[in-house]
Amino acid sequence: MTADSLTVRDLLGVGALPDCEVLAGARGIDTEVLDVRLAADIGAVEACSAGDLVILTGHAPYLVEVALRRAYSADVRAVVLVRPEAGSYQPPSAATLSFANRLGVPLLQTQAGDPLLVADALRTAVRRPDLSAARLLNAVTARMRRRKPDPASVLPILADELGVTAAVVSADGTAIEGTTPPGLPQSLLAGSVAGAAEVDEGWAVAVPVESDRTGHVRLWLVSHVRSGGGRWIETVTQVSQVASWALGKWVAEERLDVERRARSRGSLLAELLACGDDVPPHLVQQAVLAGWRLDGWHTGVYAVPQTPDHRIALDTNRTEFLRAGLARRGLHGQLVEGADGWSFWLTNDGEPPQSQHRELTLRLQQAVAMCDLVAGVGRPHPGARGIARTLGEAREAAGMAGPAQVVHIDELGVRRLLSLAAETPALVEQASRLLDPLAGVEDGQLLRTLAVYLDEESVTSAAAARLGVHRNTVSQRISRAEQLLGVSLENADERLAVHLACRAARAADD
Amino acid sequence: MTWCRSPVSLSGMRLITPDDVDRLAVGVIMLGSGGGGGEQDVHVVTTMLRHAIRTNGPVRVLDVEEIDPDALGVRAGLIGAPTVMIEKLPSGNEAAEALRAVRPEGEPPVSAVIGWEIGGCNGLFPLLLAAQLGLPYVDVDGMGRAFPRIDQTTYDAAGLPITPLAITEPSGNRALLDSSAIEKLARTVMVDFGGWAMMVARPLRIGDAAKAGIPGTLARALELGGIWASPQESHGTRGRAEASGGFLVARGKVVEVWRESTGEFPRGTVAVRRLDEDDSYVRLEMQGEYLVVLADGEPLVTTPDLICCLDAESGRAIGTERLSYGTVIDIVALPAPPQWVRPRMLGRVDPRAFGYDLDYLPFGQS
Repeated sequence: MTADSLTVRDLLGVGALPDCEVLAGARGIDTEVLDVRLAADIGAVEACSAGDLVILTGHAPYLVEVALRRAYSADVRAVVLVRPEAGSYQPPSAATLSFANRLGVPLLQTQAGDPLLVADALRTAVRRPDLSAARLLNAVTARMRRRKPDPASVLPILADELGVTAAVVSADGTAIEGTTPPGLPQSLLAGSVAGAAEVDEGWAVAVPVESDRTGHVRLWLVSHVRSGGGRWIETVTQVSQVASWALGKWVAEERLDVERRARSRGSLLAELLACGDDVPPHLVQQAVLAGWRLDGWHTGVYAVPQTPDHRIALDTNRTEFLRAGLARRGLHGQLVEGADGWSFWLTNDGEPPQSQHRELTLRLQQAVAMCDLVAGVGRPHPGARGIARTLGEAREAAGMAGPAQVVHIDELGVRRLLSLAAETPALVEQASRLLDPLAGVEDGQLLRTLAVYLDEESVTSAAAARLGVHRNTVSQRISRAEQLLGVSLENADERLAVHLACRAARAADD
Repeated sequence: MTWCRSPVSLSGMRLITPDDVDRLAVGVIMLGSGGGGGEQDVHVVTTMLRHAIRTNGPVRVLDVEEIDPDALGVRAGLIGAPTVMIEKLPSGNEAAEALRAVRPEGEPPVSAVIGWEIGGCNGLFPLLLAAQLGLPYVDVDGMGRAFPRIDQTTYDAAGLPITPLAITEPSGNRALLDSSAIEKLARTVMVDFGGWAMMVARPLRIGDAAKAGIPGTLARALELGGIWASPQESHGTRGRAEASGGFLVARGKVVEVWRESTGEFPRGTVAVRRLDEDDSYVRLEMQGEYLVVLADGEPLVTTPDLICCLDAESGRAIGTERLSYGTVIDIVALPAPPQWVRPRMLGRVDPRAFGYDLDYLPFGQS
């Protein structure tokens, strides 16, 4: 089949046949149509040649059956009945349909005031497929011009003109307007260019509406095409492309509006963080309009002033300064100012490797230091709810950050426990009491050896290497320390208590 | 294939007696091709005919050669719906009254009755007239079967006059019509007369009628009556059809009946699911008569050849008006009189004459 050839299925799609239905003979629907003929009588049907589609102006049952038989013999591709808008019409009966099914000749029924118009439209579609696509484009653009092109007005235009079910869909498949075709493969929305994929009933055509600087498409226009072949899908793609530009303009305008109301980003984030696992479509729409990408893996950062100061977070200049600082270090993400700090997150297509943490921490360090901020970093999490989770972790980490530091949540567990220990006066007191027998012994060497030994997981050789002594020396010192303290490091409880006491003592020294 | 397989010589049996009437009735119904009145309608006429024969004696039947060609023959027939006749019964004297109106003053009296339309009720009305007047019936008619229009005759094709035409009905209304468009005028009057009326056309020279008409149709009716009046069990439909010079087209169950009465005559289409073949349908196109049988978009039998639908169980013919959903029927084809199957004649009675976009299919060529 040539690229320009149309099948009966394609013709059903182009809209040249108003209210058209396939009554029978669907088996032959994917055959190629080369020309269109109008037949007022059997003679005209007999004059048809192979590849023709015949529009029959009569509809007497015998006439339809004889036409079907002649059409079959002449290798005609389909017989179209024209149901008049007024007057009597006898739809083909079960006997006629059974016959068409046996022959495999598609029997179509359309409604029109004048069969000549149907013939004209079909002939144009067959002979000049580009022309009929252009007509559709004209019709769509003319209608879009009349109204502000937002999804609520554009989607019905596509539905009317192309007979498709259209939807504006975010990259994670959530429909923010219209209905996502059932069975839409996620892979269709993973690319960055228009494409089509088979779905449960027919085909889905997706064209990008809006993408970010990396080319990741945040918003798609997806049309569900129920009938029609390759040629028709191409036409739908072309027309959708034009509609997508209009929608892109709408997105840009809306985003500008959202930017103008920067505070709304804060409340939007708050809502997003609050809604948990199920993000409602209206929130998805607002997020996409704000330029946020909800799919992929998010890594959250929460930055706060080194010294708490509620006014500075509201200082938009400072936000811009921070944004610029991050961007300069290649950190392009979403920055949202809150009452006491900034939420920032980066989005990757896949899960970022562990090795990236270090790199990220380093760059962040440089960026936040310039702004006299400290920051916490969360683990990467996927999806819309991932944003909430990673930012939550980042916030927690930020709370633990010391001066001019960036803290990753993963570092937080031990440090947090230990910092708690170091800050608990009762524990510090208990520790110094426990370790008191070693105070000043061998110039503090015994205590130091004990701490290193425990830090090195009670491995004598490791501790020896760190201390630069022989391992027998370590063993002897540990035995002495055990004697002096009256504990056995073989005992897990006693070992933990001694270890904690060592850390508390060191924290107190620091 | 011959139209009348064994042309019945009526010699030796030149009288129609009350005993012949039932057989004759079956024959004219078969020749009606589904039209011209069904069994019930014909029954009304057979009752009157039997009564007239009992009163006035048997009807003498003559072959066309057996009478002076210059003698005048008159034809009579019913116009309108035979079914209405059952509700509004005839007096039996309508034709005789009409004849008085059409006989021009000074012309010699008619010496015989001739046929107009042998198919259906109209195959019997001339015999009734003959019995009432005590005239012989000359075995010739203008159709050799039933057709809806009064001018669809070989007489008209030959240019023989039909007017003046007298038209009467039981309550005493009478009209004498003369028009170049007699069909339309006669139908208009018939409707005003209450749904049916009796017509008598201007008498013809027997010689002209014999030349232009279709001789031997009463003999044909008697022949068919003999074949189809016998009990169904004794011969299968196929055997009877072949004995009649025709063939069994299909046996099937009526699964779709669709009727429309927007035009001049009612028309309808019927789908019959074949019982002799899987997933196959036969389509019957009908108006007053069955006119075309098709299978899978190919014509099998076309007018003027005859198409009869018989109840497969009882073997009785079913008229177009009474064919109903669910009935199992045998469709039988019988050849048309050869007079119709000529190039110049076919145009009056072929499928196109009835508005079908189909050519005549020579009998038995499907």
